[in-house]
Amino acid sequence: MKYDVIVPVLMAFGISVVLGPFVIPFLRRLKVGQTVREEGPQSHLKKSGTPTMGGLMILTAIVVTSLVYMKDYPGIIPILFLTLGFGLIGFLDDYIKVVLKRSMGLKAWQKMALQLIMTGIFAYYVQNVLQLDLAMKIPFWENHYLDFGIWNIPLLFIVVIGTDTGANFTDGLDGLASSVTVMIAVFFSVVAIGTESGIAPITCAAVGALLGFLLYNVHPASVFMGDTGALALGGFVAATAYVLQMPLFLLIVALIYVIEVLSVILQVSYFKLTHGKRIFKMAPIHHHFEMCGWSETKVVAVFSIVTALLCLVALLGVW
Amino acid sequence: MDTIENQSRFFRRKKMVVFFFAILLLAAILMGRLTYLMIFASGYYEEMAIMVHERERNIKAPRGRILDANGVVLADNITVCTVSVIHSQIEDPEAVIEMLCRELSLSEEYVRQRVEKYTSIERIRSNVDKETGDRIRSYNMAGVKVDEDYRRYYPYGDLASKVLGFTGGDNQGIIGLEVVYEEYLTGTPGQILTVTDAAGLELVSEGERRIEPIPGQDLILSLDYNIQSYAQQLATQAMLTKGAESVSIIVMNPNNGEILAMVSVPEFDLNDPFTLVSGNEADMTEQEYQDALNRMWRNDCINDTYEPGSIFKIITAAAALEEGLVEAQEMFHCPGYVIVEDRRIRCHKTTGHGSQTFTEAIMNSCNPVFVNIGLRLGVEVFYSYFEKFGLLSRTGIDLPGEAGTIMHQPENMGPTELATVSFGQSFQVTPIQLAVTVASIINGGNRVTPHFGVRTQTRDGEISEIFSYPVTEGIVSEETSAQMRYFLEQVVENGGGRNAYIEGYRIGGKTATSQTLPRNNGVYIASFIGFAPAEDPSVLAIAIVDHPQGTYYGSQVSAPIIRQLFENILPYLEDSSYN
Repeated sequence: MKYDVIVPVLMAFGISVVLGPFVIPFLRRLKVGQTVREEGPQSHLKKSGTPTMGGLMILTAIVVTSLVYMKDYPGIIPILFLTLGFGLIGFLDDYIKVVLKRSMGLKAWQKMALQLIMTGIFAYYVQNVLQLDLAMKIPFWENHYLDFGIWNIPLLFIVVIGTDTGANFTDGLDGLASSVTVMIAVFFSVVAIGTESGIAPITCAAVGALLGFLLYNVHPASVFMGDTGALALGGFVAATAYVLQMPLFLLIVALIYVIEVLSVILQVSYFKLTHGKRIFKMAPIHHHFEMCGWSETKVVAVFSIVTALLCLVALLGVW
Repeated sequence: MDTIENQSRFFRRKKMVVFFFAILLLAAILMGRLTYLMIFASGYYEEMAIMVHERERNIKAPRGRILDANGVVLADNITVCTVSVIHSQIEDPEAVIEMLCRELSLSEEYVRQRVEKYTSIERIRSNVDKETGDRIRSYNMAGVKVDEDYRRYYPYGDLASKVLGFTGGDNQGIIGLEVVYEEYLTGTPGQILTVTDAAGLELVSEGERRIEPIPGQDLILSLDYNIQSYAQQLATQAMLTKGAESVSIIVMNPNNGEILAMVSVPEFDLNDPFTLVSGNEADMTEQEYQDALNRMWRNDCINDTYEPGSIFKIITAAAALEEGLVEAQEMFHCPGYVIVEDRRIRCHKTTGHGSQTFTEAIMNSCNPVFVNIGLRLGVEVFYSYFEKFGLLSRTGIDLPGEAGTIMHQPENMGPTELATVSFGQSFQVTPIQLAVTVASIINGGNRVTPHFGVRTQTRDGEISEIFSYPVTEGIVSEETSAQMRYFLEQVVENGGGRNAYIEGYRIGGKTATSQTLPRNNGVYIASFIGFAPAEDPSVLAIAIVDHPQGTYYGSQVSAPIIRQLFENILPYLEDSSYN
């Protein structure tokens, strides 16, 4: 087991950690400081000046490690594809936002179009080349699948883009997206090892990369992952889930992503419907807790603990 | 505008643009490569998938054989092959289809469908004989795989079918000795080891290592092929000539419980256990079919009970002797019936045996005398002997599904029940139970455990384990045992068992003719138990004929079977280095 589990973790961790002292000053010199939203919590205004696009560190660590294993573990290729592909979209978005100073980044339709293309290639691959049945394993119910036949494909698009958006929203506090996603990556690593699915190298690389990145990203953060990182991680989580035929498990292990997205949808709809009333103090929901008096680190800790517990529960339902 | 500031901004800008395009370029190249691998190089995956499949295959181990006491193989293995195709490795599909159709006699449509199916591996046919399998392999066509496996084979078809049992699809025992000794008979599968085992895929450049499979242990039985075949032959003959429903025979060594033969005709073919002997499965429902199969596989010697009838008088007599309640020379009178409570129980000789000693009463198999003896014992004492002789527990034979005795509770036994029990009616035991109990009475008082399994050994004959079985001593005293042997020798020499007599041999035995329920329907069970030599028995046999047509007396129907059996096997047993 050491070859395909421990080595990728350490390799990715090493790359991620070593890149820090080089990449972070470089990003800072390029003045890729994240423009903090004016509408965000006051406490966050201190953050302007902290460079973003740290996702490049994570991505480099995962990509390099995966390249080493790609030949012997071809199963990781689709996951690498979607991770890198979405990471690229995030990179474009970050670049436009930060370097070209247009704070909203890619236009919504542009972003969506790119995401659709990437997902499309991934879907084609899974369906036609891997000929993987898109039926989804139902947690806790052995040998039972949820199968919508031809509608599995549109569902795949929704799940992938939804997960990605969830990851994106989760990236709002120091270390939040990294901590939550590292738990999810550990969960998938355990499943990958247990089912001998041959994808352990990339899931373990994600674990290592994120742990390395967290050294620089925990509060007070020296670098943010930006959309480059967030979208890449979203892609990684969604792709891994589909390769293992376990998208339904995302509802458990990636519940934080789901809650983040839902909180935004609910807040916006309610606001529009009631002409100005709010459900949460602020959306996405991690800001709401901050506004309730929780410190940033507390929110991150709580969300991580919740994810860890959910992953344990989900492990019981894996078959 | 300050030129220096503009300049630095310009350089900074340039750096960023370079940086941006560098990353974009790298990423684009990588994405392109990934897309290529994913969409266009899919054949690569097939290889990997197959190798995972191969890596996971165990090497099957041959099942242990079952041999009789002299080394005759009763259950063996033959090598069979499974023929499969790997779509992506096939180079000439038409040739493969043509060859497989021809060699395996399959329709072209069937084979074509499987050859053209886009999956990693597809099974064409299993249970192919080795010769054909080897031939298919010798064509050396890419994409065709021939794997070997073992299948159980019984060289003697229906010999001891209900004793040996048979195996299922995965070569696991289903009934009989095959399932009881499963642990010993099942071998340990071997493995194909690769360099990256556990979760990894094998590296093609590295060689394979094999851990050889360990064959299952061979099981050596006490069964004797010659005695079993002869007994089976006799039983089948009797069944046909007497028009009986079934015939059971047990031949055992009364001193150690080893069973030399166990027959329950009609037997079935072990190589085809799911085909009904009656042959009309097509007309049956699922449930009817299953019931019919169970009936076909049933071993009447151990799975069913019956009313033992007069053979049971041996037990009544032994109990009375132990209690000192009767003597050999004691005089009795039989008027042809006896009245118990308000019932008149008839003797089989309706005119009565008149005056007779106890010895003569046994020779005559006189019911009223035994009712008398039974009443002397009383319910409590009789019941306690029932227990002491082991009749209420199972014999512990090494076959599955041994039935228990069906007997009244002592509190429900009044004089009438006691009376009928004394001559072996109104309760039920299995034939093996009866045989073992009688054996314990005539062998000096030792209740043995009947068994087939003697020892296990490796393929090369090295002994692995010798089985030992419990013996309970002190069932009856030596005197009682000697006395019973004497009585029963008289039965054969001068009494109702004279049809079992063989010149030159001293044989003991007892007849029985019991009517089945409901009474007066004219259905009988004719049985006879015999042992030899009478003074120091080394073999005991019982024959039970169920529902004979025409004459139905144990003395007429079953005693001759035992005589014929002994005629053949007594000299055989003397000659062989047996015991």
